[in-house]
Amino acid sequence: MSPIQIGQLLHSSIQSFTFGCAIPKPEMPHFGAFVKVPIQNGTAHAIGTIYNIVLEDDDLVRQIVGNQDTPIEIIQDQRQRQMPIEVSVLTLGYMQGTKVRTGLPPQPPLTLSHIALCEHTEIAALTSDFNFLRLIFQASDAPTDELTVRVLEQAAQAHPNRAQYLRTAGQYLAQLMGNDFQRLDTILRRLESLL
Amino acid sequence: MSINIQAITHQIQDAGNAIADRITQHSKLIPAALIQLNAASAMQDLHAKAEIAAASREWSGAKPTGENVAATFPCPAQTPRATVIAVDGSQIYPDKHSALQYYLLNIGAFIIQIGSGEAPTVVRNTVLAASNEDVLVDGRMVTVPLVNLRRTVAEMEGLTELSLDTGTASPHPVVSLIDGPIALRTQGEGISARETGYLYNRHLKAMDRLADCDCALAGYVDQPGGSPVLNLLWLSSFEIDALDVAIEAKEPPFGGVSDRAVFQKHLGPGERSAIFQTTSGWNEPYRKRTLQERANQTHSIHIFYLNVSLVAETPVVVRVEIPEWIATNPEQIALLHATLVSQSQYTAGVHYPYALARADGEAVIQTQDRTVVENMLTRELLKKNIVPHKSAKLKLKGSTRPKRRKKRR
Repeated sequence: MSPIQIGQLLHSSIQSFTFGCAIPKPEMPHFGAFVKVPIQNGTAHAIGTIYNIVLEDDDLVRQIVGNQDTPIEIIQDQRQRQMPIEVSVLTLGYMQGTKVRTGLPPQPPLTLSHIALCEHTEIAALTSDFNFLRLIFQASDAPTDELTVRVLEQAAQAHPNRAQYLRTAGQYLAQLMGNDFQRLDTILRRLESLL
Repeated sequence: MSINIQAITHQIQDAGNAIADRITQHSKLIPAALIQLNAASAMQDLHAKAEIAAASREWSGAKPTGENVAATFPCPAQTPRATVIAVDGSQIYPDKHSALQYYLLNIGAFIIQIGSGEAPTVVRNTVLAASNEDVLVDGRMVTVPLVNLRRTVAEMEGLTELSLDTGTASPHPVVSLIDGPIALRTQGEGISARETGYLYNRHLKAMDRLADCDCALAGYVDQPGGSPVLNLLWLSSFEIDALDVAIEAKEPPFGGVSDRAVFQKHLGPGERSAIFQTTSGWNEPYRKRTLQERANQTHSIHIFYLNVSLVAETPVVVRVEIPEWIATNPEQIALLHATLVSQSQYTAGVHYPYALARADGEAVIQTQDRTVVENMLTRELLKKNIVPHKSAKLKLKGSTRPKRRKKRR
C-alpha cells in the first residue's frame, strides 16, 4: 500500500522544510508527527517532525470576524477555502532504501514534492537511538520542550516496549540537559505522565 | 518609486483643492436635485416627457416605470431558504510584445444555499485562447475591449449553466448575480459589427435561458457613476413643448452630481429606489428581444438604487441592473432586494455581497498565475524546438525595473 500523501512542499533547506496542505482533519498531520519527503530524485527520503502548523488569514476573514452573527454557511465556507496552511517540519534524518540515518540529509527536497506520514518501522528505525533529540534541541525556532515530549510519545508507540523506551529516553535527556534542571524536570514529569 | 514626488508637490495641493471644491459644489447641488425628485413625482406628464425624449435617440436617461419616482421601499424580510449564485470573471490580456500570443479567461462562481447549514461550493472555468480564430481578428491581434466583451459573455453563459443546474434541482428560489453591469456595452471601441452581433446573440441567448428557469437575475454595480435619474429630473424641469433644450444640452445636469450622491441622501438603511428603465443606446438589443413565453416582455435593462448599509450614518448606495422580466415581478424584486442587503452584512464595516466577494476571489488571476501559464506554454513550444522570443522592449523592461525580493526565514 502506498503511503497517504498529506501535502506538497512549499520551500525547504537542509535543516527544515515547509509544506502546504488542506484544512487539517483529525487523521491529518499534527504537531510532533513524523513525515517523509523524497530527495535526490526519489532515491532517498528526508524524515522530520512537524513543529509548527500555521493557518493564514486574509482581509476577508478579518472582516467576517468583526461581524457578530456569522451564518453557519459562511463559517463552513471559510473553513473549506483554499487558504494556505503551512506545516513546518524539522529534519531529523534521512533514509536510503531501508537504511535510516540520524542527521541532516545531503540535499533538501524539491518544491512540490509530496509529503507522506512515516510508517511505524521507519519511525522505529530513526528513533532506535536518541541522537535525533540533539537536532531538536539545536533548533532555534521550534518549541523544543513541547516537541521533545510529543516526538518521544510518537516514537514510543513504534517500539515494542513503550514504557521502557520512555524511561531510556528520560535517562538520555538527563545526560543531555544535566545543567538545566528546571527544564529537564518539566520534560521528565511530562514523560512520566505518559507511562 | 519612479515618480518625482518633489515635482508634483504643488500639483497635489492643487488637485486636493480641486477635489475638495468639487465635493463642496456637489453637496450644494444635491438638495436641489432632491427637491426636483419630489416635484417630478407629482407630475402627470413625466412619463410623456420621458417617452418624447427617449424617442429622440439623443437623450440618454432613466424612464419611469409604474412606481412613483421618489418612492422608497424598505427592505423585505429575507426568505429563510434561497440559493445565491454569483459569477465574476478576470483575464490575462494579450500582449503584443510577448512571444506567446494568447489570452486567458477565468470565470469564478460561488454558490451558497442560504439557510441550509451546508458548505457553499465554488466553480472555476478557465479558457486559454490561442488559436488563430481566437487571437486574430481581421489579421490583427485581438484587442482589450474585445477580450472584455468575450469575458462578459462567458460570465453570463457560466451563470446560466449554473442557474439551470441549481434551479431545476432546488425547490427554493434562486438568485443569479453578476458583478458589474448586466448588459454588453459596445460603443466606439472599434469592434466589428459581425463580432458584436455574434457576441450579443450569445449573450441574449443565455439571458433567454435564464428567463426560462425563473432565476432572479441581476447585475450589481458597486460605486456606480452616471446620472440617468438626474437626466430625467433635469428633463422634468422643462415644459413638455420645450424639451429640445434639455435633450440637446451638452452640460451634465446638476453640475455633474451622480445619481448615487443623490440617493445616498434619499434612501434610508436597506431601502431601494423606484425602478427605472434605461434608454441608453446599448440597451436597444435588449429592448428588442421579446420573450414569447413571458407575455412579450423583453430583456430591456432596468435599474434601481439600493442602500445596502443598515447604518444610517454610513449609507452605501449601489445600482442594481435587471431585465424587464424581473423588473415587472414584485416577488423577484423583493427576493433580490432582501438577498442583496442580507448578503452585504457579513463583513464588518464593508457592505458588499459576500457571494460576489467570493466569486471575485475565485476568478482573480494573480501575477504568479500568469507566470505559471507562460512557463507551461514556453515548455510546450520548446518541446517542438521553438524558442519563444520576447520583444526587445519587453526584455529591457524586465531587466531595468526594480525587483522585489521575497523575505524568507
